Amino acid sequence: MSRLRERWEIFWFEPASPVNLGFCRILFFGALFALYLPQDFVAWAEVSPVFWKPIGLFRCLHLPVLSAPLLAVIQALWKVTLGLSCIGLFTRLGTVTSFILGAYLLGLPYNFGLLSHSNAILVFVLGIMALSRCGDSWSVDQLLRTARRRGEPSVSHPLMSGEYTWPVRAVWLIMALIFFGAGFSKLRRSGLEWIVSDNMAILLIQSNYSISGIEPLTAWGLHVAQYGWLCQLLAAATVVFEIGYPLALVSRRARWLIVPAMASIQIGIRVLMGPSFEQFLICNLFWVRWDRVFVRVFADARRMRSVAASTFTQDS
Amino acid sequence: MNIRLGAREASVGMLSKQRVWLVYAVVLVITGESLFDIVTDTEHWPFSQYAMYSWVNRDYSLTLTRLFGVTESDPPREIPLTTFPYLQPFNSYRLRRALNWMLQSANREQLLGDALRDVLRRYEERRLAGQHDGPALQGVKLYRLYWKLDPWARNIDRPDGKNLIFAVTPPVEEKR
Repeated sequence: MSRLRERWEIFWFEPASPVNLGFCRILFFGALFALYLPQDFVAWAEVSPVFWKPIGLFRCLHLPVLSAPLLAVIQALWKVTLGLSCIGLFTRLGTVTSFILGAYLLGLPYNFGLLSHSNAILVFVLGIMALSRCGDSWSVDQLLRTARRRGEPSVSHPLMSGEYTWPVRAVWLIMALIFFGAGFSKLRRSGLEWIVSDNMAILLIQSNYSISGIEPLTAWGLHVAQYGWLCQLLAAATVVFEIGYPLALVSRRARWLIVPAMASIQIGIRVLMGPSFEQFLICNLFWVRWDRVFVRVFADARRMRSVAASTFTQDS
Repeated sequence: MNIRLGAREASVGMLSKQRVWLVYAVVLVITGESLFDIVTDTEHWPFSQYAMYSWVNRDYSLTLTRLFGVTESDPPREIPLTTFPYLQPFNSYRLRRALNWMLQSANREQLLGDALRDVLRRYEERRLAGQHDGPALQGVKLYRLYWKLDPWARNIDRPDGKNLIFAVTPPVEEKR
């Protein structure tokens, strides 16, 4: 029992460098900024109330559709806070504000008749980043702190801490719950028939009839649909990787297989069927150990420089 | 490594007890509500059981509702309203789902009338603002379309069945 507890605590609070979380912050908020900068939420204020069908959070908190001018202000503010969070300036304020405003803006469209599943993960990750110390490294805030408190090594080089581990693991957990839920829903509602029938072939063909609002990138799905065994293989792979996704939490080997496989499946859905999952693909960046990537890149760069220098010395 | 849940935060970077319990509380809420929705097959946004594509399709057919705009040309044409610029901020899928739940409501006539008039109004406002290049419309119709699936989707523009569900035209005053 004590071993289990120790492993649990190691999973959540193993001391880590702040570099990884800092870089995750840059990439995550940078990607969101790029993705949502052109998006206009103001148009929802002009939709007739006949479409209004409030969902969970909006119903509980009695959140209304704000007026167009107010929505314009909020969406501008949200995009600014995404940018500030990316560069790590006023990080705590930026991440908290982007979470609160993001929860409203990202959830708003789903009050108009369709509960979709692409934006919810972002609300969770925004909330986690708002609670985290993601601004301790690779941030303008850290540069300013270092300049103000020269000579304090703990400021210029924050110490290893579990504070930089748990947010990443929390994002892992969220992704595991989402994909497990998707796989479990398929098996609960349809059983193995979801895999062994013509279901996948039919889905691939239907996707080319303009059903999802987003056309598939290619017509390859129609070609794949001609091969029943291939469709069943794709269906089986989908369910296996969805149900098995939680294994990525506890096994490094499983992580190397499952995470890229699931990302590939989502890319494949975009190519063959239409629906896009940019939000999920963005969150995959939390699976990468960016601090190790840097160490590797810098080590390789140093090695190449020393090889080049010794070659130059020999030539001269 | 040395994690001490009962210790106060020290300069070596250990978390405080309060901080640890905050993390556990967040994890508990996320996990608990997610598992609840998965087990009960329900959704409480942002939590969900993520049941998209979970039903089995057994028949090589497709039935869906689709909006068509009736142009002001003579004779009038019916054009499918499926592209985002025509329906913004909806896309065709979201709008179809919204109309489908109205179809199942007791006061569907009232709801559909208001909804389709709103679609037409926004379409025309955007057309007049130069935000899309669609033709002027005098009305909107909601059809239920049926296809027997062609393996290569060659009949996408020729559904095997097309039934009118509802239609609206704007009042004469709005047209002026």
